[in-house]
Amino acid sequence: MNFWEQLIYFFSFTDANVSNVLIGTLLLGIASGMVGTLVVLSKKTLIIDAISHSMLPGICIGFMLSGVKNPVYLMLGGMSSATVAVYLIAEISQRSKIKVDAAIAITLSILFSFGVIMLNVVQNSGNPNQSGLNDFLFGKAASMLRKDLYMFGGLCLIIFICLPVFFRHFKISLFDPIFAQSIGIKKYFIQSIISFLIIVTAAAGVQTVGIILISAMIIAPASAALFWTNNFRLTMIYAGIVGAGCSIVGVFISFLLPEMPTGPWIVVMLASVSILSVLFSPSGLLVKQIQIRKNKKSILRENVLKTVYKLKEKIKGKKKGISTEEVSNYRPTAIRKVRSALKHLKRKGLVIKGGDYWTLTENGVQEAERIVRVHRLWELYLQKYMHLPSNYVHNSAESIEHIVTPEIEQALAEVMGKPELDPHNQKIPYGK
Amino acid sequence: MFDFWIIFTACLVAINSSVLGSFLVLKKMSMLGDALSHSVLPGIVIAFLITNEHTSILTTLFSAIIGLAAVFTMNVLSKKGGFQKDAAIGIMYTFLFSIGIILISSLAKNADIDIECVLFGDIGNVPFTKGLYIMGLEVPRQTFLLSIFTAANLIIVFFGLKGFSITSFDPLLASTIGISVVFWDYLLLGLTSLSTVFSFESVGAIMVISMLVIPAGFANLLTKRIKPFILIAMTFSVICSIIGYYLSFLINVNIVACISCVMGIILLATIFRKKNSTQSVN
Repeated sequence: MNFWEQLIYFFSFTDANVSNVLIGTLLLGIASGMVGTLVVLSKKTLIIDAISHSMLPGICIGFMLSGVKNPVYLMLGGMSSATVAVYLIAEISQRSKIKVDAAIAITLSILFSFGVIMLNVVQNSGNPNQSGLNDFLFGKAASMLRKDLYMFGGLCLIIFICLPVFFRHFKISLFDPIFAQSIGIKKYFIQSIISFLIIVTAAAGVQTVGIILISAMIIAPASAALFWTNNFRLTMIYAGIVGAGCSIVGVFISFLLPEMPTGPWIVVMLASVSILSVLFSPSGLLVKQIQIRKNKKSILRENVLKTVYKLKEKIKGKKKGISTEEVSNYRPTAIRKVRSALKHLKRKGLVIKGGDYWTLTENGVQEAERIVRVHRLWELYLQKYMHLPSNYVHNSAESIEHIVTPEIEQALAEVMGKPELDPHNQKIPYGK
Repeated sequence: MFDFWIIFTACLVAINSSVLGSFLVLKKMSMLGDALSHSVLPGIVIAFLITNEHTSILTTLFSAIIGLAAVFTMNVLSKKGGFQKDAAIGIMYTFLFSIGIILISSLAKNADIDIECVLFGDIGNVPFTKGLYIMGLEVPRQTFLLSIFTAANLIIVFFGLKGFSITSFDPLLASTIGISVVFWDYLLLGLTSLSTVFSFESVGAIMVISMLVIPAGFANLLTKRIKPFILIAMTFSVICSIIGYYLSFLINVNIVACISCVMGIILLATIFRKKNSTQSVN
């Protein structure tokens, strides 16, 4: 079979085993994305690591007690040892001065190493059923059977029931914890439910992603989704979609290449989505940087324009214009930047070049006067109403002049009755 | 000599990790240490694929670079990207660890590196690795490298003790008197990732975390002063390594897991006993 045939085969639901895996993964992806939203928003992401790692001893003990690889026993075992982990973390950080993060790391490592010992004990016991317990470390979605799916569906059902039932509680206590307390929602209660949901998700994810990487499965979709929306409900939905999509891709890759563990591929997909979101989403790094650059450039242009105006004010027509060097010296800026700013201003028709000298056009004068006016009005305003001494007002005006809108400018002028002079006794230009 | 080399190696790992772990715990970066120990995996695997050796200069270099790059990326993601700090850690380290695992399962199929060894280490194998002759004594290669690193590590910490402690206890004061918190943080994390690399073959990427945090947690219960803190953590981890080693032979399980379990049980017992005794006094 070539790639496309495999793809069609994989998604066609003709093979019972494949469709088990597909349904299971879809459910897990949605559930973990949604639970993850709660965890990320409540800033409890570190605890997931501890919870997932500590499932190992429980899984092994569940296997030892039952002697078979029945998913129900294994998951019950895993969930109980994860509960022990949550309890231990709380106890350690309460009873001693060990901080929460260290308590998490300590609990994680103790229970995980205990799990490794249990794993060894199981392996030494010679029980023929034990092969495959290792798969719980990195997940093997392909080994999912119908009976696994029932258990799996049950776990996801718990999550899908809990979320809508407590939706309002979550929303209120996550976004306004103090208000939540005042209307009687117990913080402890909400945290217990969130911990419980993490445990259930981790138990459900063990078979697909494995205990070591399940934390990414919970954290990544929600973190990525938060870049695209600020709405709680939408975040949950997006996170569910991201979780489901990435897990299906991961499962498909390990279906194509059977020797590949599923978990790592899912995690690589999820991490890529998150990193892409950080970079390219509307509130992401790249957009922000571009915005910052744009602002910087426009501020530089306004400053250059203002400088030309001021220099012209000084020479009072003795010279034909202002050279680039003069601008760069008056306001210490790299000459390269000044030159490019002047070129841009020229394209906008605000300055013209005659020989080696720059002069302002009619529009340029107006624009420069506007900036200087805002600057000087603001200085005066600070002096009059904030009672700042005149030598303190310049810096603030220097930054505000690029932001003030015409409405604010008008209001400033009106409130002070169109003053003539600024605190430094310079004329405030009002144009014609 | 068989027992001796294993215990000696375990003690070296324990000393390294507990010294670095002390500062990690004090700086509240324990989970970052955990993340780092996972993140260096791709570096180890890539270097292994090139040189076919578990610990080489290339491994050290690659892993240190990847470790520091991971920390740097986490910082950028959380400070500039708007990620939550913990979420950035959680995503970065699982991402790098996954890449490592994928590389192992696809490329290094026939090579002498397997997932179980990566996770739990293979300290029992140390005496069987090829040795170097030093003054007529055959020292396993890995133990030799580890002892050099331990020496370097202890020297750096000894001379940098002031910087490390002032940036752990009062970062604000440190930056006012011109000590760069960032520098010491990165130095600590760099040493931690190197320590992971050198310990990786013997204790594995996951078990390193217990060596890092449990001794420091124990010391945290007993003292408030930095020098006793480090000494207690070191002694504790060495003693536990010896007990754990012999215990693991009794029940025939993974040596490192046994060591960290012994550490963990002693720590938990101390925590739970301590509070109860004070309660009974009250």
